[in-house]
Amino acid sequence: MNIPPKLPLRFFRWYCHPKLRNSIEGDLMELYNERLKKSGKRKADRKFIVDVLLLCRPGIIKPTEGYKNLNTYTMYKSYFKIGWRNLLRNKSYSTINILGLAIGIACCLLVSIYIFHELSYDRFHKNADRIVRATMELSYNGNITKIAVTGTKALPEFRRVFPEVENGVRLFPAGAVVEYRDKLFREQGFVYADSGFFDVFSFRLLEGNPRTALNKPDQVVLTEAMAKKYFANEEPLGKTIRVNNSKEFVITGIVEDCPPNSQIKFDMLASWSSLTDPVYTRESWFDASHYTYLLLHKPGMHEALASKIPAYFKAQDSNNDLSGKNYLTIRIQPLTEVHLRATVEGGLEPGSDYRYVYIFSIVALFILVIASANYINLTTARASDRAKEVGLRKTVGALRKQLITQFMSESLVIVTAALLMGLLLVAALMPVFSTIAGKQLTSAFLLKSESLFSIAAILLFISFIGGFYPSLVLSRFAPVNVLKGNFKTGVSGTGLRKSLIVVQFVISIALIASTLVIHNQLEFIQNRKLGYQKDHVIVLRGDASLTGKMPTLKSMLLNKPEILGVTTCNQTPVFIPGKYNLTVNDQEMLITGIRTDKDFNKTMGLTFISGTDFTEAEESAAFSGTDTLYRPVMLNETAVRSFEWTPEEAIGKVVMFQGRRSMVKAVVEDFHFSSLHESISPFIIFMSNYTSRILVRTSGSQVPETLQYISARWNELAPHLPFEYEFLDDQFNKLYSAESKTGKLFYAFAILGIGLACLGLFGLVTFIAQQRAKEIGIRKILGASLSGLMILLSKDFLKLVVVASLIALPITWWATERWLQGFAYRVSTSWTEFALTCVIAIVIAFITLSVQVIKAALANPVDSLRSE
Amino acid sequence: MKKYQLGEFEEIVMLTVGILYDEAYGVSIKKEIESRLKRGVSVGALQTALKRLEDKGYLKSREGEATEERAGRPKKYFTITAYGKKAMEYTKSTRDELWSAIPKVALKVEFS
Repeated sequence: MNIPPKLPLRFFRWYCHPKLRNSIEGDLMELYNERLKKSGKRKADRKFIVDVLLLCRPGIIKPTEGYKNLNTYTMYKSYFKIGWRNLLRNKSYSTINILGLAIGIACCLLVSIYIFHELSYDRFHKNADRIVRATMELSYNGNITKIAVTGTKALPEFRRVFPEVENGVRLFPAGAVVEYRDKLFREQGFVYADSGFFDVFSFRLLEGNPRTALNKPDQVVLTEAMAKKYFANEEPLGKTIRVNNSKEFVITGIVEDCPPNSQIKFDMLASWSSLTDPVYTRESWFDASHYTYLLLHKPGMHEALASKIPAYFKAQDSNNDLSGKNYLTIRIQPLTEVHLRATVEGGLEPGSDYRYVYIFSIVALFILVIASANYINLTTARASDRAKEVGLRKTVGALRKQLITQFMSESLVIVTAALLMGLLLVAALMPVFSTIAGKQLTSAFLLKSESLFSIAAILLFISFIGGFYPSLVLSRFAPVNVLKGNFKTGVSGTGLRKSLIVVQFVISIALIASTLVIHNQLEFIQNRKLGYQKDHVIVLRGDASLTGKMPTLKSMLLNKPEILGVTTCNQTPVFIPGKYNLTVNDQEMLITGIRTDKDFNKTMGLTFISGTDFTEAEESAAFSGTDTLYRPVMLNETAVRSFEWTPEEAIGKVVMFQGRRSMVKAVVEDFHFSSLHESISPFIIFMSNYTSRILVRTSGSQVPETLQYISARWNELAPHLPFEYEFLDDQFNKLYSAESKTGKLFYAFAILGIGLACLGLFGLVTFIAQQRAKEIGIRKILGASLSGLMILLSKDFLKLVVVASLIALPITWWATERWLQGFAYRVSTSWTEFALTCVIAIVIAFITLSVQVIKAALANPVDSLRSE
Repeated sequence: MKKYQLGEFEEIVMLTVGILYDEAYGVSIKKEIESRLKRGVSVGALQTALKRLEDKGYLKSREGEATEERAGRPKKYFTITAYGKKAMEYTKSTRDELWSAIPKVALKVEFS
């Protein structure tokens, strides 16, 4: 007996289908032996190998999933098949189920994109856990002022004194007018930065050397976008740009555009050493206008550093002429906390509030709950449809465990379909959502492994909670009862269904009511009498170079009949942060104020309570600095009240303002010079030749022509400054952008919530109407009226909606009350709104119900009764 | 109409199984085709064709005796089923139909 080569034979035995193995191996052996006799062992061996290799083809190779069904593969296959057929058989249910879930999932994903964006703020820096922001805290007679900027001294002094500090950066977002050949723009993102900028932060330098890019005076680094804007296809490195019409800056680097999730955003970075004014070169704790970031040696060192700071400043107080209640200190906060939990307002970028992150996560979760509740409801309600199948499967020998697996896998099918649709929805809604949220959001994060993992987790979670209860209910049926046909339909899970409907409507009603409250508050802000007229005012940006030309510009502009008034000031009345020193009756205090000219009151439409407006003579004296005797100032009502004067008494009072004797010239009615979150504080108006903002009041007609006219005059008089304008009411609206974003998102969520809840209700009532078709038929024959039938079918559901309203309203009242407490000026929540919400919810629910109910009630009883 | 599908090689295998009648198993079919048609047949090609034909129901198989030269492995004998016969007849008749449809002139090939 001769044996062929062992390895090929073993290989053949390994791959061959077991059913064919014996006979083919026999053939191979027979041929081998024959060839061996005829042409020798070597040739026979070779041919044997060739045969084995040529046999290795589909049809001969055993199938991978096993040729005998030793596993339950086919069983699972049949589960999915049956699941799929069930979907197709009940198209309306499947659509409601899948669509509802898809919307819920899409909502959840969109919100999680937003939340991840918020949470990822500033984490892209390699040293993110070692960077802290330093802010200043000043106390003056017990009035504590916290500001996000520090003096020039903070960084150098900290590096000298505290060993924890390795490096640091001061940022000074000065903004500048930048000129290159024919291009002239004002760049708000023109930021001066210390040379250590690229060591501390991880902005990627595309061209240039991070060591040397900012280490000499008059160097500037541009972002890619800026390089494109000024240089298009030219090579920017080494070229010079003209800044503020005075200095040439050499471009030493190109940096990647700032990521949207960075609190530090800039367009141009200029070297700190370019700042030559003593205000910047002298080390001082005061004169604060710089944002200071410190790089510590090790992560987690900030606590150690923070604990050392108070003692240091205690020792410094005497040098700073401070004592007792007056102190100055620096507070630090880790970089990654600044965006969501800023302890100090007025950072480089307005931060978000972590509470909004929580609110939105909860709301998104609610939407998902509503959608899942729909799914559970519809599946349990339809249990009877599947009862016969369950009975048969059980009779054939299915275990309860297996049935549970079956229904779970069906739910997996549905949820997967919903997830895919949800992802499509996310892709489609992304741009809209980005605008509403006011963020540059991308779905890129969805492709990261951890988010894919969490999506898979969501998928399994919803399939589990969605499929678990129905599978428990369905698998409980006793086959004898079911197959005999005395199975009561729709009874199982009624309690759960009812409570789920209540939960859905509680959430929807709460969302609607909150939306109404937010809407009312925003409306209230919009329409509140601010004390000045914000409409039809154009704000122009100027600078000190314009001061001399102001009288000419003013008279030129006033020639146009559409222009009613022109005034200059240092800040627009929408938001005035500037604080000044005032001494009244030997009491020092800080007072908010505005530097302006004699036309401010007239142009802005302030109301005088007593006294008279500034005069021409007073203005020229103030501008030229010849008002040596008394400086005329105006106070607002609150200020006068806080000094315990009546408005009439106040006129002619002498106060010390900024160290100079000043006389109260007039008292004006209170107006809102900051957001309505804060109450009106004492305010002072004084004259100073300051032209950083020019306010132009127009009649509101022929706006484009007026703008064109202003622009032409501007270019004549100030060709070195770009003509930039903004409307005052736009500025005003920006103050409340966080609130209006919240409002819009709530609006969207409220619609989604009620929509989904009604979708579920619709599905349920359709089903119930089918179930009770015979009952309705008999009732009709016996003389039931249409309205009677409608009440019969919908009263159970409407009862649930009423219960939901009763639960939702106190919760909403509590929540909105807390939100409104953040406003100093707010609407009061009234019960009429809440009542309105309930009515809306009930009406919507009723409309949803009645579509199906009327259909069922109008059906011809013959159709439902003739069968059986 | 794809009522009976029979490829060229499959048809040859069917015919050979018919010729060998009771003696058709792997090696004998292979030898028969090789000697009659003067063409090489690999075990792999033949076995796949046989399996396919059996799956289609044109052939049926039974296990035969095991001999020493087969190292004790049984032979697998194939016979044509009634369905297989129909398929063969169908193939033949379609061929004949096509042949008879060719005009005589078309086959008058001139050797020039």
